[in-house]
Amino acid sequence: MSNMYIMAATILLAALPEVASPATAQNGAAWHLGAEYKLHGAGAVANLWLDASSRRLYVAHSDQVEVLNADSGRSEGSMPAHDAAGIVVVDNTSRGFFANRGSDAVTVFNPATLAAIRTVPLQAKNPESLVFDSDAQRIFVIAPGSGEVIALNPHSGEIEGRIALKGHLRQAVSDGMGSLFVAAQDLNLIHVVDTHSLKFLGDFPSGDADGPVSLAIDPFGRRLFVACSGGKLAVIDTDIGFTFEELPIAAGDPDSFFTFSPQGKGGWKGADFVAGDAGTLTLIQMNAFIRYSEGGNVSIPRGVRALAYDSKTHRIFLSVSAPHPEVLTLVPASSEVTQ
Amino acid sequence: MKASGFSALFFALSLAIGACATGAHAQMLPASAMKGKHVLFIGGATKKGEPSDDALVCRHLEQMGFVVTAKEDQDASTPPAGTDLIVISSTADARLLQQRYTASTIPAFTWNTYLYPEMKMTGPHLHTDYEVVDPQHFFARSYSELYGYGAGNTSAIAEAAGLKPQLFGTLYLEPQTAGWGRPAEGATIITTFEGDSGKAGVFAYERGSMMYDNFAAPARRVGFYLSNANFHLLTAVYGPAAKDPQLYDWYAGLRLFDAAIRWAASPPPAMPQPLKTGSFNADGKKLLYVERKFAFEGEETDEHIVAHLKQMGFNVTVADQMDPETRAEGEDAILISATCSKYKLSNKYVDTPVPVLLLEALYSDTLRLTGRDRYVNYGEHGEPNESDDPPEAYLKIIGAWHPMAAGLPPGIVQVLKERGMMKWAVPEPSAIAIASLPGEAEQKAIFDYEKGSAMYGGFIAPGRRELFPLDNDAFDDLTPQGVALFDAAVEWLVSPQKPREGNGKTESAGLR
Repeated sequence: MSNMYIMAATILLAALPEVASPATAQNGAAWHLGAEYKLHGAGAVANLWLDASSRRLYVAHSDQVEVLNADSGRSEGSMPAHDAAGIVVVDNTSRGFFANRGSDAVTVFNPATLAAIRTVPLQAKNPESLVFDSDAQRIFVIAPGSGEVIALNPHSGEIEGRIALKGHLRQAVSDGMGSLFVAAQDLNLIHVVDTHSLKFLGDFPSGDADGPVSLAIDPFGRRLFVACSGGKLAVIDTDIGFTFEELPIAAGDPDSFFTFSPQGKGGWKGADFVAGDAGTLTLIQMNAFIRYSEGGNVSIPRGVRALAYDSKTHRIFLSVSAPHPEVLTLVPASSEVTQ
Repeated sequence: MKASGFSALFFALSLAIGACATGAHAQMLPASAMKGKHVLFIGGATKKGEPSDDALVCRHLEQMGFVVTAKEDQDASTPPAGTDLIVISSTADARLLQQRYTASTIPAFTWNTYLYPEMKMTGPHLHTDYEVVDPQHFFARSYSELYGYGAGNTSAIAEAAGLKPQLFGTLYLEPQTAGWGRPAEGATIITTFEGDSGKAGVFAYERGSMMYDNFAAPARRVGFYLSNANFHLLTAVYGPAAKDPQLYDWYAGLRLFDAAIRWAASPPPAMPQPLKTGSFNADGKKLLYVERKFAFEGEETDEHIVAHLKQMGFNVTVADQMDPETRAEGEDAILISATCSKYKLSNKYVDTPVPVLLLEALYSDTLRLTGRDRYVNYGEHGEPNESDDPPEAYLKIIGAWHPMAAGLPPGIVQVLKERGMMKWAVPEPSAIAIASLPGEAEQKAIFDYEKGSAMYGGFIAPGRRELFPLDNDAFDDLTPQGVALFDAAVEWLVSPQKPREGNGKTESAGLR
């Protein structure tokens, strides 16, 4: 069992005894905005990363990565950056990584001290998304500016290889089984890359869903949730690249995540959450591995750029940049789910 | 299904061969030729809240290049001039449509199972002739319908889709509503359900083939297993898995749909001209005639058949039934006479790649033309001591479109001057059926398996196999139409067979 599977299984098992979870709310009315975490710097928030074990929330925020206490919102420090974007913290290496779009580099840092360890020049333009693949034990950096994916060693930060991909690359996700999926927005394709050999394996079409941007994965059901700017979410069977479900979401530039939340017979088995420009958080209800349906919408501020899910408290963190950059929390209505 | 340079060249060559050698294998047009063809799409309203994939289908057809005009089932106006294909969805109300398009000379493609009887594509009895299997009423069986079997693997549709004689996934994973029909004897069955060779998921009628109720198909007709809202679940495979041949073979649903649409929208072959006796010259082709030498019955007829074959230009070698199969080496064709003893023939000529024309229908099971149950899988009419059925002098032409039908029109034709013994067999769906016994739709007298076809028990035809039942003395009793059918069967036996085209990525030609 790969590390990613162990991690996912842990999430699943942790959720089992819970009566309530994000998916408990079967419509948008069951959610409400909670605490607002103010940020110190200016500029748009590009990304969020929650390290649930250390209770730290990393906020990629223009010229810095701010680090907040996930439960209180208190600042725990910051790291200088050049137009910060994707962030990943790899537990078993005690290393964190964030992309600097402004300098085309990745910063490697110590999550305990927030001290920079090294800067890795990528020789690739505009690095955005970062993904850790537990199977190949590699960090993957998606650089849309030069249409490349760069593989880094998670211990040393050394570049281990790169592969050029077609189209306007957006988010990526790994299945923990040796495949990396990369959204190509303008081609309506999901590229598949072997995380070990770094070879291009083929493409999944996004069906009738136009403009794939954000990817989330259910590693047990082998489902890829493809949130598209055209206002649809495609559910793809990653074994065969087949889109078997398309559901409406708000149009715009979305971010998303998937989480299991078994609710017993007839209830939700899991949920995919999607939010973006439109001021709506859309819930996609997992009824079974082969059946998904619309699970309601939650009104949220417009212009959400990133989401993060807290499996411990079942809260969702949202980043907004206007009128001023901040992180919002979305809390399920049931008091049982909060600490 | 885009043509590579090689396949385009092959395609042109096969057309040329078809034109000069077999005369009637019209092409299945390449995918690029669908551009600009006009489809009339007939749909209807679903119940409130029930989904429909009609819009998806229309968009898919447009992506294939068709110009689609959608029309509601309540609109009874005639199809616009220039319509190349009528596509009828299951959302259309079969009770409204009734026989509106039954006699249309425009090809029709439908997944409206309840319309099958009205279109003469099946008989009229629900659950017997046709059925819609939905998860609500037939929960367990609806799982079975997720699995189809590639029964007609040498049909043009199957070849274009890369369908093999094995199970495949029809719809994606979750039980769906699917329809099947038990087509009439002139149909080509492409896929079947539930291990029943008559429960067709996909089936087709060539123009001129016999539909239900002795209705000759006025144009191509295709039935497909879909229902209102599962077009988007037709199986397909993409990405790395598409490079795995077994996965590629399994997820064939959408390829089948596309191939069947393309076949329906392609022009049918010209109907064969009546065969003129003596017009064919075998030009010295080598033919092995296997008989029982010194037979006490039929010996003279064997001599007449051999003489006739020589007249057709064959270089005939006569072998005894006890001669080894090695006698067939180097031959272009084999005829097995009815004077042979099935018992003495043993299992000879089963595996030979040389085309075989069988005159002794009782040997059908040995050759894998049919199953092994006498009077169920094969039998005879008019055998005084064994048969309950009276002697017969007529056959029903059900595959008039095919060269083996000798240009005879659909319907009853007298083949023997006097009523006599007439043998039959029930072939597998992959056979091309030319003639059946009148009143006995299942009992086929003349049929053909192309090389590579799935025969009884999954046996793959190592060469062309034909049945033309001709009892010991019957050759001398053939009418001119009977002689024409015999000659057409012999001519087809040695006609070039187009190479199998395989994996659905190449173009294909003709229904067969």
